[in-house]
Amino acid sequence: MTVKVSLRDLHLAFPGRDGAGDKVIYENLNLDIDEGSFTVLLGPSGCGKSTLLNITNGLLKPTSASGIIVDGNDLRDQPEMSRKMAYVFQGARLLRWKTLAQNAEFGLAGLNVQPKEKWQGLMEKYFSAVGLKDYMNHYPHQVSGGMQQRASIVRAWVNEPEILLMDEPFSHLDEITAATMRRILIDLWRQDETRRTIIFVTHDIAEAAQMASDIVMLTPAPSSICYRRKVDMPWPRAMESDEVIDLEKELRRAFSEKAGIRF
Amino acid sequence: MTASMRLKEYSAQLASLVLIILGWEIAAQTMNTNALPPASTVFATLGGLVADGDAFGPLFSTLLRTVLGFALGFLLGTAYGIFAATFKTFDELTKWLIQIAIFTPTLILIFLFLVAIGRTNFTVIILIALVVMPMIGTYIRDALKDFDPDLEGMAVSYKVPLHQRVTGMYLPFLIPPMLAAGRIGFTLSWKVAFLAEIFGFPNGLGWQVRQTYQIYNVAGLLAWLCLFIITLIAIEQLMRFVERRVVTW
Ligand SMILES: Nc1ncnc2c1ncn2[C@@H]1O[C@H](COP(=O)(O)OP(=O)(O)OP(=O)(O)O)[C@@H](O)[C@H]1O
Ligand SMILES: [Mg+2]
Repeated sequence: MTVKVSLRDLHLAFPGRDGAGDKVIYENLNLDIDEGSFTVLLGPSGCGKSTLLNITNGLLKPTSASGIIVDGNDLRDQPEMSRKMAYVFQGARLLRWKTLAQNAEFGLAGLNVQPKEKWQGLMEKYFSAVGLKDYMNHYPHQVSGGMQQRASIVRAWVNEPEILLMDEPFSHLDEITAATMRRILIDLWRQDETRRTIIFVTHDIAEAAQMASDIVMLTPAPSSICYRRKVDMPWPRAMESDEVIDLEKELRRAFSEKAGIRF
Repeated sequence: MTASMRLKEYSAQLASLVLIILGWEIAAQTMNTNALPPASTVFATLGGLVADGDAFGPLFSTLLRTVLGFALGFLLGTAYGIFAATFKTFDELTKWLIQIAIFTPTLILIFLFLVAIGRTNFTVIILIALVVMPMIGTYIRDALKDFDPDLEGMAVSYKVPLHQRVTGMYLPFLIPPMLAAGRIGFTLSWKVAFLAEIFGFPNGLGWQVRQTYQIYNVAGLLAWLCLFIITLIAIEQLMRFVERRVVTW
């Protein structure tokens, strides 16, 4: 399997406040992400999951790293590598003066998706997929918070990027909508002939067990990878199936044994 | 907002205007003093001014000074606000200068300018710009502080080029505060023009008021004041109309 994204010897510390020592987030973190995988980064709040996506996307410079490699190129030498990615942020981050469709277009124009004639079709496809086709021309304040979050997912998907960065995209949704969205995401991902690489952040063990092809477990900061496994289980995975429940148990056990987190 | 809602809103506003005039009329009739002539007399005087065409010359002079001074102050103020929000050092360097300009009573500025530059149209225009610019500038500067840095991060992540960030993100963010500051600024401009005319101009609305005042023609004075207020109301309505057209979200 080819490695799509590779973070090498990552160090990051934020300067401490009011004379406190620096806050170390990563010390010598190494992470390889396989092409075409659905990699779930699983970790407790504040461990540095969003930060890891920001570094991968080139939005944040680490204190040091021997490599932030995308498709064999270091992102710091070749910033255009990050054009292969689209990012679903932890918050919706929509422009309130643009309709949902115009918000998606803002991203399409930025990532310069060609040809332009495709945009309308792409938007219709993905807005329909998340059940927002009738709301494309609404302004963010005219739809619910969950719908805004789904629109922000569309803004990323319409670019059909090689790499999708998704930061707790479903954590603000109610459980019913979240379950639907998980199924839709998995379907879209599996239907594509070129399988995209998804880096998916969550703190929800059940969500990880249900979706991941690869699970990376992070400890509280200073964060390190305390457990990692591939999941070779076909989709769709029923939440209540024995395999999924066993996997959840295994992940909980790993959290308590390797990261000292007790449930 | 639906048309019927707007109609309801307008009727309420109209009713309040009618009430004000009615209250004035009653007060004038009961007090029966020279200091407060009845609304009917004042409006008759105003009607006469309009019918003779005497109202338009002064109105036009004042309006022209106001518009030019305001336009200059608005441009400079907006530029200042954007600069001050973008460059911290520039903000720190100019902060107190701007505050002093805001604190200084307008009348003092008017006296100083009339003495220093003389009684020219140019003086009033500069004066208005000087009074309006700090107010608009600080308003825009403070509004920009509310800009969500996460949106900036989103635009960077999606590689949105600068010109599209400006037209698609910063400008739409700025339009509502610019319109709000513009409305306040325009009223301020009127008042400065008016005051400057009272103190040193042989034409314009302010000059007319001064003249009627000097011969104790209170009805005339109030007629000019009404003309002033009616014009302001009309312009305010126009601005709100434009705002509704531009700010659709
Ligand atoms: N700009 C910053 N300056 C200082 N500290 C920061 C900054 N950004 C993040 N941190 C710190 O880094 C740590 C990791 O933050 P991050 O947002 O990556 O956490 P997370 O794993 O995504 O948490 P959550 O699940 O709650 O979203 C936190 O302890 C946070 O306080
Ligand atoms: Mg986070």
